[in-house]
Amino acid sequence: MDDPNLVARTEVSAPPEKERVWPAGRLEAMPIRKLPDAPPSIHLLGPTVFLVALGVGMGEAYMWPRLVLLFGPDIRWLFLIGVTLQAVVMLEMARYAMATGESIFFGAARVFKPIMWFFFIVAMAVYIWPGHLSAGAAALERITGIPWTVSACVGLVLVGILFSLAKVIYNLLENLLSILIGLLVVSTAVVAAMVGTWQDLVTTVTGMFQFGYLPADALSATWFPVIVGSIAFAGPSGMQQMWYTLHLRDSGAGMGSHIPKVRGLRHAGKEEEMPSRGFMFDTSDPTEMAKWKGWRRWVTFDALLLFWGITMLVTISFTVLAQAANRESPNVKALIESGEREAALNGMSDAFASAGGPVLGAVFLGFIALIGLNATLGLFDSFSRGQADMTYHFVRGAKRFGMSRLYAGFLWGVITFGIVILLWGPAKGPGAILDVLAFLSTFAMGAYCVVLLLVNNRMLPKPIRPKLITNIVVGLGAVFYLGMLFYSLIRFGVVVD
Amino acid sequence: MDIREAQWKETLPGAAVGLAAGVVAGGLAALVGQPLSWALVTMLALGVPLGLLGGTLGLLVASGLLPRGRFAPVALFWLVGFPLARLIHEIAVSLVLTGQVRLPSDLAGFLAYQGLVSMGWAIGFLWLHERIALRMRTSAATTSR
Repeated sequence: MDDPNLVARTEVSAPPEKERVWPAGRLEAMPIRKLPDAPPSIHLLGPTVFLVALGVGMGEAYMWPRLVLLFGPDIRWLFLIGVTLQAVVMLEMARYAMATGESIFFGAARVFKPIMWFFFIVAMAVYIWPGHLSAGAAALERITGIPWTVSACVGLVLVGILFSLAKVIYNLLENLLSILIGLLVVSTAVVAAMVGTWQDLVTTVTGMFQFGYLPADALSATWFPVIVGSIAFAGPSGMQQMWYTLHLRDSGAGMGSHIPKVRGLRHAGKEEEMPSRGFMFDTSDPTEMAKWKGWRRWVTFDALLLFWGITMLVTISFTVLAQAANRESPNVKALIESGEREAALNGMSDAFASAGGPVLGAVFLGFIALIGLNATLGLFDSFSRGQADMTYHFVRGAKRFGMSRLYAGFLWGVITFGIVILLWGPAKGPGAILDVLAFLSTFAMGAYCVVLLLVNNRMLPKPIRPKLITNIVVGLGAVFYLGMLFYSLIRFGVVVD
Repeated sequence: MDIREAQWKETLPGAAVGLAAGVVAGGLAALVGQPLSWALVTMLALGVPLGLLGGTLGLLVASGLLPRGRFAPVALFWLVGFPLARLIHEIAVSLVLTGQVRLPSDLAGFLAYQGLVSMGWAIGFLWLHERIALRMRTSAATTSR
């Protein structure tokens, strides 16, 4: 295949040959290259699978069904706002990544390098702890009897080996996650069809439109931080949206087609040289702008049907299940209200078992294990990808290792640390800094909304900058996340729960 | 490969996804200690109708009666097909467990609810179907080369 960099190189007739570039911020300018043709807008396979795998997690399976049982289905309007906001954020993350082939971290560095280092440190602080493995592995223990630390450690090593042997990590993971998410969606639909009722579904769906509903209990020191945490966990949480820009690039979307893919450690020697910056297309050319519109349609379909649709579908199904369990076994509410997460998950499983037989209890735990597996696969890849990207471009001397080796270094580093902590340390992080980690995770979401506004409005050429309404929505997102976080902190002295 | 054979091959991914749903439901029933007969009834009564309908959908697409890769026709197909499969499942389970054919108490409400849930099933079905079909086409192209 022709090197797209050569094919797209701007022709200049007079010597010396001078390349056209797009200057963005204080870093190296982006050379102008051709934008590839967009695929058909209606599609099913693509990088959104990563965001769905990361996003459909504890928020959808546990936190929101729990809130519905405690406050009624009308509380779900907050979920609708949270997920819709995330769909807009996803489209804006995609705008920068598809226009430049750079990650949003690189974009942040173009605005002001310390912003990027802030995200590098947050990722290290928040995502290095293996606590996210505990819920899925504990659910597996309840089904199979295998101690959760054993399955978690074995799982960690298997993930490391799998990613190290892969020729192109993106392709392997997209295939794997597609099958797992497909199974999750099909199975939740079948189970919801077997145990739910028309009334459960109607109250769940209409509850999403009861804007402004907040019962008095919800505004208490006990529950407000839980609600803030649940909003932050509606769809992708923490830095997951930022990592999506790396998956989008590796899938070859937009100008990402000019950037080589990250390879597994075994095939790292075959890696092509990673350019030191991204590329821009000629926004003054109507043909290029027509292709750009095609790419925007493609990613909009992803955001609306695949991301928003599947996230909504799974959470509606789980809420219907929770309502069915509560109807059959009214003590489920007390169990969920009082318990820790694992205790409450077991409580929900028991309630499902009493509502629909032991099958349903096991199915619920199976879903939690499956969600845990998806999140683990996605998180380990994403964390390593993000840290490797920032290290490669912004740590002096790191380029000689190559992107794939840096990726492997971070991957095996987080796996080794995870195993050590699982065996001898606090899985979720030291108790003294848990609040700080929870704060940073939610703060990062407000912060990336601000970064998006800066990057997309200052680093992109005018014709492809976001419209005013989009800027307003993203700005409201920053106010929404940061406002609720600080309100909770100042009013109740608690961050998020 | 003649056209008829190619069309039959298109039925496989849809049939596999439908059957898999039944196997998952029945397999979990067996795993948690339900009687084998109960697990088998669940597996067959749900898996076979969903598998047959999934295969039919693949055939309709392969013969050009439904457009390929579109969500709306698939959703409409399952809007009718999914409630039908669930009705067969409910009747079969009641027949095996009680020896009598029993319809759900609120049949209209039951069908309406299943119709709404079918949207979710359609998304998951199409997602898995496209993945399996793509893999089959790729492997067939590699073999023929």
